[in-house]
Amino acid sequence: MENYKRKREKQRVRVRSKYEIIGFISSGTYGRVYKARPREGPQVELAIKKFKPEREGEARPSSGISQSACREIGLCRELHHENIVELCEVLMDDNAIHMVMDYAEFDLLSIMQHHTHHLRKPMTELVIKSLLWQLLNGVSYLHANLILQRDLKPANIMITSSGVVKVGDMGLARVFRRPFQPLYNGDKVVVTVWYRAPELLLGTRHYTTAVDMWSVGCIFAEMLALRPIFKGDEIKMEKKQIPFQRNQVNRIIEVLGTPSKEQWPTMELMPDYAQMKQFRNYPNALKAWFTNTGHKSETGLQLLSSLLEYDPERRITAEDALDHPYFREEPRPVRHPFLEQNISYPRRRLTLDDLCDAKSQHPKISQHSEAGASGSSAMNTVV
Amino acid sequence: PELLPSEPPDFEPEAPCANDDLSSTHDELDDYLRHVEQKFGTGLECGLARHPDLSRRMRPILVDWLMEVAADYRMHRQTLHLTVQYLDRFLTNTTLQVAPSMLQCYGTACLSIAMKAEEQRAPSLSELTDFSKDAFSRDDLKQAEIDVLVALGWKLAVPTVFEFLCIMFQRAALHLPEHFADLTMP
Repeated sequence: MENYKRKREKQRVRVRSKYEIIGFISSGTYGRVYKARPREGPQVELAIKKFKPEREGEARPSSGISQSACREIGLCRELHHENIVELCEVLMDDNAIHMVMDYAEFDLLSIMQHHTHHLRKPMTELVIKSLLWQLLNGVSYLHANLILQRDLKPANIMITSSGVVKVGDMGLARVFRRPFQPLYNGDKVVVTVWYRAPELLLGTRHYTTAVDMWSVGCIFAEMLALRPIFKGDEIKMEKKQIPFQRNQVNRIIEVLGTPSKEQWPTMELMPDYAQMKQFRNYPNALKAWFTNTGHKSETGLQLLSSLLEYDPERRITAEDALDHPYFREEPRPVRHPFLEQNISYPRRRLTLDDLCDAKSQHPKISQHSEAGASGSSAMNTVV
Repeated sequence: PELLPSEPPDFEPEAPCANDDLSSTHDELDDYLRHVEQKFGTGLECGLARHPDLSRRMRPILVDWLMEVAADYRMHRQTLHLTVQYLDRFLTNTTLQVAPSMLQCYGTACLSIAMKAEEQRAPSLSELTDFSKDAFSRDDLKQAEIDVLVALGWKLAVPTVFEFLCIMFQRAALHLPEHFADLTMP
């Protein structure tokens, strides 16, 4: 046994001996992300996602390697596409899993925030169109490979310094062609509430790739307006009961109008359909909303309304969306929109503190991750 | 071993998926799965010869026990087949020498990983050590999970006999009624 332990120890690759950690990027419920570069070989920039090692005495009994890490790595390992974050290597060190991935300088959230707070002007149509096209291209690849992303939102959409989109964070993703069981599971929810499709809000048991397409629609709208289109207040889960997200649904029908039977024939079959009676009737105001953003493309509005279609069966698929007339109209989407337009956004701010050993628990960090856990965006459950 | 409570896997979900027409993707899917099987399958030998301390008798005993655990958790069949696939591949690829006393622990680790990939809920480490009547500790199991994942290179999406048969029978089901119905005509 001793022999065996020593042998295993020798085989272990130390993350720090192979990579130089340049700075700390962010943290979440899963763990922390660092920027790094390899000590040998070509000087590329990498991101290292370090999953939180399990500690004894946590509320839930330990089940070893976390299910979401297992699924994320298992899936990422299979995926190779220009618009999906590439997994380079998985290392075990310091009792934690480290995913070594391509580094992207920006994420869509930080870019939109820069436009809102600093530039104070909208994103150009070329940039929006190029980013949206690439996002659809990545999502179409996932869907063609029978994978649902299930947590598309601006913070999960990485963008390189030249403007290439990399869909990231597959922590909630799963294979869907084999729903051995329905994807729904009593006390769990998927997708951050602002980007959650109406069928999920109405408690559907079966859902499809269309849930990702709704999120794409919300993201497209957010790029146009620089604020979330359906910014509902999330109702917190109580006693393991999924609450009906009344405010979120209300935000949606204020813009898209109350869904009619013709628009969404199977709506009546949704488990929480009865809840729909409490809302007053709204007309569809998407066109007015669109005009308000200052954008004029008629085909852009068409694409947006196809993405935000109530009926999941009628909602446009990623593959069809890539072919939409919007993308054939000038300005045509490009691969490196930031280069093309000579735009430079401020680089990601790295902090240098807490590069020390993760074992010395920083009080600030644990607070931080707890805040993440209770925040509206945190989804720590996987179905 | 007793038969597992198995329901037929739901290959055709009630709600439509994109590209739901399985028949059109059959060949591509087949080719891909066969390619993966060739690359990651282990053959009949199951890697046992690489571990001088293990005897041939041990694998069926372990698989029997895994089937019992699977029945208890009402696991899907695919999960059980994946477990065994992981086990064989682990034994084939690992650089460690597995002692007979640790085989059950590694088998359980394979089960735990397969459940995380396929099932909605994975059991806790202590549930699993209870199952084995504490033949190994939680720490052993935790480490074994890591050893298995490293030996598998994290390649978790692999086809199994079960999956191949499901696809074959499903395809057969598309044509057999036609075939038999036609036989009744003359």
